Amino acid sequence: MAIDDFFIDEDNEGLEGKRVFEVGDLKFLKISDQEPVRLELLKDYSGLIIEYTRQTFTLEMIKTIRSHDEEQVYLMPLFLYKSYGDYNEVLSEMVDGTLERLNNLNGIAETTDIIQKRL
Amino acid sequence: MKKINCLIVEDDAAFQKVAYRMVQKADRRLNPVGLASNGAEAIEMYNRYDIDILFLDIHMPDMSGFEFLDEVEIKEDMQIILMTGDEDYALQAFEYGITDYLLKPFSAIRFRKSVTRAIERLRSEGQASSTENVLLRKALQLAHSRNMDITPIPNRRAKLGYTYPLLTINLDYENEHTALDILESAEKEGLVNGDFIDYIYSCNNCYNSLLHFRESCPKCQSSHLKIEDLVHHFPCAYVGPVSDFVKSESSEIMECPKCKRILKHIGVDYDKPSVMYTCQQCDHEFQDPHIKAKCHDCGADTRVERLVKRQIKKYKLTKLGRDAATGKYNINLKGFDELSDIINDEYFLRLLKNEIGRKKVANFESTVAALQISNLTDLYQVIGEQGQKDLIIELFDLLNNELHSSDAVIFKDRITMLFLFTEKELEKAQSLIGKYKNRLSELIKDNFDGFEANFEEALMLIEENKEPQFHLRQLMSSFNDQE
Repeated sequence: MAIDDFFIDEDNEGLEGKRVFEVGDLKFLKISDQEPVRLELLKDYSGLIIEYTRQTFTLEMIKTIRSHDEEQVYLMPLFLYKSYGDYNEVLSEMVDGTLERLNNLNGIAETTDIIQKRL
Repeated sequence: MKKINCLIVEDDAAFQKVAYRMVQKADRRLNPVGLASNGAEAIEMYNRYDIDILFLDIHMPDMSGFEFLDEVEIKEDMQIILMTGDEDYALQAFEYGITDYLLKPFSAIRFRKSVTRAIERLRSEGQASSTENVLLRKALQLAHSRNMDITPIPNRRAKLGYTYPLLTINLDYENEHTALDILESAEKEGLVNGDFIDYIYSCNNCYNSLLHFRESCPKCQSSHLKIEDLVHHFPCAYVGPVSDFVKSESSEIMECPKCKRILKHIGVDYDKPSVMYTCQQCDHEFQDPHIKAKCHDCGADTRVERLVKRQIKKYKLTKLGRDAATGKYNINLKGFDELSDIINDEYFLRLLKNEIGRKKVANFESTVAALQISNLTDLYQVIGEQGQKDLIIELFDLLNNELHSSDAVIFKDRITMLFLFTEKELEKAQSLIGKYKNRLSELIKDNFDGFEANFEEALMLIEENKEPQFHLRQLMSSFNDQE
């Protein structure tokens, strides 16, 4: 484990429990298996941050979104959030990016912006 | 009503005629496109046409019906009806996924039933293709919006051993193999270009690729085999399993059972040229075991020769693919199959192969070219499917009327034409392409309220030391790199 990971709580202080993050005009929703969310609500967000807790939950969540019938849902930018440790390679190929900190979302905002422009 | 292309492969001339008449009478949709009397003819016709139903005789002068099936690439939705006087091949037929097995002589009623079954199966495959269109569009949209290729990832949990994250995610485990069908069809339609990554072998029953390979007895099929080195003793020429030479289990000394000499140095007085198998089930001794693959999903135990071999490719979106992703072009996999005489890059590749062969033995220059009407998808959006088909036929007819008799043209996809200019250098080919562009442009303008066609072109001299596929890739790459 990298030394930085010991300070994870400090880096994300006050952010872990937060569900909605705004970066400029973009709004991201963070979901985890502890906080179920209704699929219809997803369309209100620019992207989704899926907290990687259990592999099965994460995979099911990505599958549910990507195999949805509505374009706004299945094309939604998805990001995996995990404070430390590696990601399963197949899972990371299914999403648009990964992040370890919630205090700086400029990277995922940039990716989301590019995706939205190409749609 | 879509025509169903049939090929009749039968060496008996009289029975061939009977079969032809039966096909004509069985269903109005059946369209017998070829009659072949031997394997070679059958292969040529099979590769030329897009066959939906194959009527196949098992006994032919140059090869068996099964050898023919081994030679050609079997389309997954093609229906095969075997016609034979011999009932001993039923089991083998099952291994090939045959639709029906007609034992000669058979009645017209039996024949019609068989055809009806084949058509029903074709129809159900066709219905699946509408789902395929939706899944493909999703994958293209995801790939385009992310500026990504559709890339296979090795995955031990995937049915094929590989997964395409942008596509497979929409499929349940049982149907994961259809991702390959969808992507192959997409490549045929010109929506993506594939680059070879790997070959996989999968179960011919359920398409699972996680297989357990081992040798088995050719007589009783048991995999319980004892394997021994075979020893060849040079001085007396005795050949036998190593156990013949070992005096006792505790001793490493080997003595020849024929001349009683002690074997000393491998490579000097003896050799181990091969191995010997003894079946522990039936005591059969042999040197060439069958290699079998057991599928741990469905339990099928198949000889490796019967496994389904498929290519795994990485797919890049073409201009057409990007238009499909952004909704400018309507995906309709297999919907244009009836134009397979016009949209057929495989036929073009065969022509090109012949031209490369000619060029190897004579000194001349020939040119290949691709001409793309890049904004044709804008027109396609408003003229519907039948309109597209009519337009493609008109463009093709016009070009064929203009073309020199030694040259050839064929569509690669619905917006791209491929030209072969035999014994013409670049400059001459370029001027011909210019002329054809004007003619095509006029035709489109006259028929579609002054619609201005935008053309892009690529030309290259044929290189005799390069494969046909290389030429096609080079030509198409100039279009596909442009966003």
